[in-house]
Amino acid sequence: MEPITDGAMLSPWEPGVFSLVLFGLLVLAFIGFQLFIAHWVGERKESREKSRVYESGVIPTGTARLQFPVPFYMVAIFFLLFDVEGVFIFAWAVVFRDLGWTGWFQMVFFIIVLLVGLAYIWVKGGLDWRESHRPK
Amino acid sequence: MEHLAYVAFGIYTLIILTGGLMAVLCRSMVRALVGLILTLFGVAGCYLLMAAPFIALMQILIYVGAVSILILFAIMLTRAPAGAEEAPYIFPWRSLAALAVAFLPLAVIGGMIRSGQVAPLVPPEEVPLAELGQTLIEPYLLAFELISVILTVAMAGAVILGFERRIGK
Repeated sequence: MEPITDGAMLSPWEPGVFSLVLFGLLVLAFIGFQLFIAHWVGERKESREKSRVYESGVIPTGTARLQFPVPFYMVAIFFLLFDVEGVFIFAWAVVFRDLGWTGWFQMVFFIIVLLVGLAYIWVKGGLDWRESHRPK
Repeated sequence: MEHLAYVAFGIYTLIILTGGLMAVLCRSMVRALVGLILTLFGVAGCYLLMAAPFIALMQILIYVGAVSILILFAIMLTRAPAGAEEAPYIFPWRSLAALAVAFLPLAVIGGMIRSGQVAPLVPPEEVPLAELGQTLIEPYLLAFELISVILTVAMAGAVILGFERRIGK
């Protein structure tokens, strides 16, 4: 697969954006038309079952304003960090043939340092969901 | 086709300002976060206008995709207990102070425009992603490797902070 070399594809300075605007307008018009038709033609019946949060789903109990456990936050942080890592790997991957083995080893070092971090959080139990596996 | 760029700039600015106002004025934290996400999308559009599509996509991937989720989790972690109401809207002093702070950058930028030379608007040239990757690996190798160290330190810090909280409980 050849990388996209035509940088103007996404640039609003080039005429290529016209088709994008047209496409966007068409999509918006289509969505609006669908919503309008559904609203105009459709029959509305209110019922207790339909006004539930999840229709035909699990019946909710209690309030939704509960505090979420910390692991959610940890997972979000780790996701963010590996996301940033992915960005740099992406920039390298585009030219990895030109950079040769030197670039490859440099990237291996980059990833190994991050794997050390991953191993650390793994050993520390940052990836465990249950309280019983937590370190003392 | 340059007019289209002006139109796009107007749209992006409108998105940024709308999102910013939403983030400041909404009393519900989650709605304010939605405003912030809108602003981040607008900033991504501005990157696109500056002929930096890679940065624009990364802005969406990292800020819209990850940082906003992180903030959302932070809101849900520290959520006020059930039944508690959000703080009431206080108009006079806080709003004035916020306005003053908002106009400060305007004054600084305006002063700079008045006193100094403003660079003419030229269609920016895009730096290919391949060049960016090559620059990262070759001349800026040390900084590049240090990024991984920073990320590792951040991971360790997250673990330590997360566990300290749990032990203290």
